[in-house]
Amino acid sequence: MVDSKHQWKAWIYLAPAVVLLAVFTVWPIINTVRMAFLADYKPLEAAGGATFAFGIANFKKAFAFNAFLTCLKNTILLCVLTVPISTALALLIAVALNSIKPLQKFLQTIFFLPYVTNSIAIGMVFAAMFNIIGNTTNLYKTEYAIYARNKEEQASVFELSERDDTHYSFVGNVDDIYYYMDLTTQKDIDKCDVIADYSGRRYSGSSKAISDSNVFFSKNSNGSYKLVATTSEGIKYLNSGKESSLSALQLTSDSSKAAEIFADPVLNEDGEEIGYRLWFMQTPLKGGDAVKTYFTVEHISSIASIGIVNNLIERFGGRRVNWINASSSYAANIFVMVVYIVWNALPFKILILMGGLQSINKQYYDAAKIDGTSRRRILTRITIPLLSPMLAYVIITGFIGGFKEYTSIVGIFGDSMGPTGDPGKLQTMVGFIYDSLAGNNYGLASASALILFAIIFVVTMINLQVSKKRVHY
Amino acid sequence: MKVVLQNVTKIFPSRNKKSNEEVVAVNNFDFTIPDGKLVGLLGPSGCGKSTTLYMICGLQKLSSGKIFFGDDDVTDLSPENRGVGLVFQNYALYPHMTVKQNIMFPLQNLTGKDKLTKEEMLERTQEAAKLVQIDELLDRKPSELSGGQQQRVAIARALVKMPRILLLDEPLSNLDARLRLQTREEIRRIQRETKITTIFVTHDQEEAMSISDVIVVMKLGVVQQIGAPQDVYDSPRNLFVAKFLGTPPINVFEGQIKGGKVMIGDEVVVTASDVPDQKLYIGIRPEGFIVDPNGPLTCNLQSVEVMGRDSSVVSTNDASLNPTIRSIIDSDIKVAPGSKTVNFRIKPNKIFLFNKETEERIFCEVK
Amino acid sequence: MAEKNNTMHEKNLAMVTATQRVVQILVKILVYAFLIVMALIILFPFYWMINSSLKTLDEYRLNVPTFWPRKVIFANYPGAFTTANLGRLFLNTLYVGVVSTILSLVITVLSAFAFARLEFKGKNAMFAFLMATMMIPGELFTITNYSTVNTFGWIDTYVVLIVPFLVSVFYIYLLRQNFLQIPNELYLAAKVDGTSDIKYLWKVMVPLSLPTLISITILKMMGAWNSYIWPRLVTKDDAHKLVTNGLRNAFTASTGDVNYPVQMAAVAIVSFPLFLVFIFLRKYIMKGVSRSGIKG
Repeated sequence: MVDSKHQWKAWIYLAPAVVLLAVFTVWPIINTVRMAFLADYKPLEAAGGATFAFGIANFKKAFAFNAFLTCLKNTILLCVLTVPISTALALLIAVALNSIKPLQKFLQTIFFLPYVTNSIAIGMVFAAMFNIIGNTTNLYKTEYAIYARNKEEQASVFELSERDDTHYSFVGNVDDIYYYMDLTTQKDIDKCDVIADYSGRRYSGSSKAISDSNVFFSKNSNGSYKLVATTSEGIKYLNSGKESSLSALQLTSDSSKAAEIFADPVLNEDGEEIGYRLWFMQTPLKGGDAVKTYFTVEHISSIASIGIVNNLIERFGGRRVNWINASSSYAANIFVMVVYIVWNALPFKILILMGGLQSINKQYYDAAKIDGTSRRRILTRITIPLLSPMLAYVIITGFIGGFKEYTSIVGIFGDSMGPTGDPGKLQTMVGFIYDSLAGNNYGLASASALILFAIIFVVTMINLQVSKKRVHY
Repeated sequence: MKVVLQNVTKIFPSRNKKSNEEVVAVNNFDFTIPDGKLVGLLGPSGCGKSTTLYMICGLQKLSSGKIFFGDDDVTDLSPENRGVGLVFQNYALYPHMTVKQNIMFPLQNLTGKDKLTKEEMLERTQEAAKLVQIDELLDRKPSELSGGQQQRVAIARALVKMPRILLLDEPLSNLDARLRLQTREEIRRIQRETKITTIFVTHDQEEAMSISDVIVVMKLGVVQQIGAPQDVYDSPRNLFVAKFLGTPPINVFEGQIKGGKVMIGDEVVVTASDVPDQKLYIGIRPEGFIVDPNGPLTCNLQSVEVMGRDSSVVSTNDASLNPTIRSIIDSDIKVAPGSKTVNFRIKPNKIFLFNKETEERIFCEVK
Repeated sequence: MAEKNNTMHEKNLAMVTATQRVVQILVKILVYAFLIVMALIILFPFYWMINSSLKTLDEYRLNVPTFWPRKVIFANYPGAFTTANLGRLFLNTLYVGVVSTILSLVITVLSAFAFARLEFKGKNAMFAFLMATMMIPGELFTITNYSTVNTFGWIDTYVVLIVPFLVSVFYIYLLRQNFLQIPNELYLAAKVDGTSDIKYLWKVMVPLSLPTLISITILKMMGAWNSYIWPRLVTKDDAHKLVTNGLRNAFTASTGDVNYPVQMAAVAIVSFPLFLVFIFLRKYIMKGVSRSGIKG
């Protein structure tokens, strides 16, 4: 090494780094600690000459803050859930990847992809995937209005007499004849058998008579629906099929039996279909000419349209869930966050663990093979112990990163840090620090930052202690 | 348990994408390793000995041929079902387990009717440890042991499951010289005690010769000669085997045989009957030289090295293929240090004749 | 009798071998299936992003989503550009990224050189101190730094986005390790030849450490591209917003619904440069990341 006559040269080289570090690293450490102990420190006021009490008031205030405790809870919960899951998953993937030769590099590249993405940008994609647009309080709610016209074209609106989640009953009166309409919204259209049940009254007259008619919606292979009527003469398709969330229609009447039922779609001015109009010919009991009776079924408010995740759930027969929208449950929110955070955490862990796996001497596996060791035993008695330094590293950094989780939540929920109407529900410790900062309460922010640091420090120490016992170097 | 290799061949596809060269690592091996013997696979690096070993234990698949353990065809059997024990060149001891756990490990893999209780496992472990004399080190970790101790642990681990066959890959190459002598005796002793058919691989001919019951000399994937060490030494089948065995190495000369007279240069050293006239390679063992002022072979004396029990005479001769000729003579015989030349008489059983083109040994009666 | 035993034995051996082969194949299939399923799950959001970005809003809203748009439109992309003002955001981020990377590289190289090659009093203490600062979470600094830059009047400038992060102790450490591996004799020989330090750095050490430097460059640029928290704190006006902030806030739904396809297009545009960098420079990124794992 060149002798120290040129010491000053070294310091010149280091000068920019030292200056910057002093201002932006060293000073902040000192200052933050200082501010943490000055109650409610606000720099503006400090500049104006105000003094602040020295003590742990900030810390006390922090813990008294409800928001703080929420943030603490969120942070810890997310950490405790995501670190084990992502580590275990990463281990499985790394072991599996390590055992195959073709496609290994290719798959490795794929698994690394989430690392290079912008955590907020992709968060928005996840939000879209888990999203529900529209009515989120009752996911299956659909309003229907039914009205009928008699021969004088007078409309009478049916009244809703009963309703539960999937079933609507209307009753209406047209020319003193009561009609009951039952609407069922079944999830699986193929399973529903709607019966528009008019047990057989036949008409004479020009229109064809049917004894029993069933009208139901049948789903096409491309997802659209069509109205189908089955008559004693076979299946008739009444309608060429449009998108509809109306799944089933059941028509009963106390007095008359239906003739053939016809259906026309009802369109609004934009040409969008908003309902169906059913009509049939019938003769009133009192006698007289056969009359066209119309029933129009309109859906007046759209059902919630759902993101791909819910779609997949429903396709496999489950019920849709409100994941992240207004009035979604905390458990659902946490679930989405865990999925997203794990998705983001996998690449780094897989990379490190694979590096570790590849550094294990192959001869250990050969020796174990000769000794007839089962695959499971090789994994638990040889691979994992020899991998333990990497595992420890991955877990420790996982926890440290987990405690600092913030941007991934912004990615999914936006700046409000919670579903609409419930801001701050998913706020984390780091978020709390920034909130305090935005609220100009530097003292509180500093104290919270110190608390966070203390937690991270303690957890890391614990991890290191545990790893001393269980890690083999 | 005898091991039979039947037309065993191993070909490695070429790694070079441009050329189509395959490497024939093992070429049509066909021999039987007798039961209960200590067998050495000997040869320079690249001769296929390690490959053969790995094929016997199942870590390497054969390109063609069959391997039998006794009467069982194990060619397609995976290693864990063959009942072999393998001691790796680098021991491959699990670094995170103690010696005891390392040795016990194979026992814990036994299932079904072979399953052992904890006590039985401990007992077997103790026995194995005692056999290799490391029973005092059971609670240490491998990193705390010396090379020689680590190797003994590796041997114990291989033996604890009472394998039908014990395989050792270059067992002595990682040890220092002092330890080598000691350890090869250990291997011998253990083999004699357990009577397990043992095969080991080495490039050191002294090692192989000193402890093997049978040695198999290999070169570039082809078996050169099989036999008891002394037999192979005393009667090599070709020039390679002759040169490979023996320290100091055999002295090779260019010569010829004419009319039954074996000549080096112009001098007739011995006579051999029933050999047609031809040019030859002549090999003479160092101990085959007898200093005799009237001896037929004249060499230029370079030096006499005193080794105590013997003396080593270093000389040169124009016909010699080696830069110098080494002869081991009894130290009672004195060679006049000032003399320029020295004459030798050759012991007939220490001179070998080889065909100049094929380098194969010409078997004949030599006087 | 002996023959019978032999055949039985052979049969058993054959059975064992066959069973083993079957098990081996089954395990291989399972492993591949698992990996492929996981890979698909990892890839799914990307695919969904592209898929959605090519749809019309109506098609996006369909109850039964389509896995490839029935009608592929590219109009969302220009739309995204204008809605989120992506052009300006890109420029800002590029400017900040490039300037900070160059400056940072200079500082890192000089500092690493000082630690690796020069002898000076307090070197070890200084280095140990730097290592210690690595352990402290960044949030602790942010608070004071915010106050500091406020005092300096740096809010809503480019300076505030660049200067505070010029020094990364980790990169200095990484580069120093690299420099240490270059034999010292080269330096001494160069000194004897009268080469100045700077020349030596530029002509010898930098070229020899190129892989590490490239990794650092890429990671720093990625950092600028992905940064969110600090820019959000210190830039309020649009002239200085960086990509991530602009993106998130451009689509906050004030009324009703978010135009998801356009938003997805925006996300795709923003992710694309990173994706390109990944494809071509993947080796450097992965090496840089994993080195942070293998240390210590």
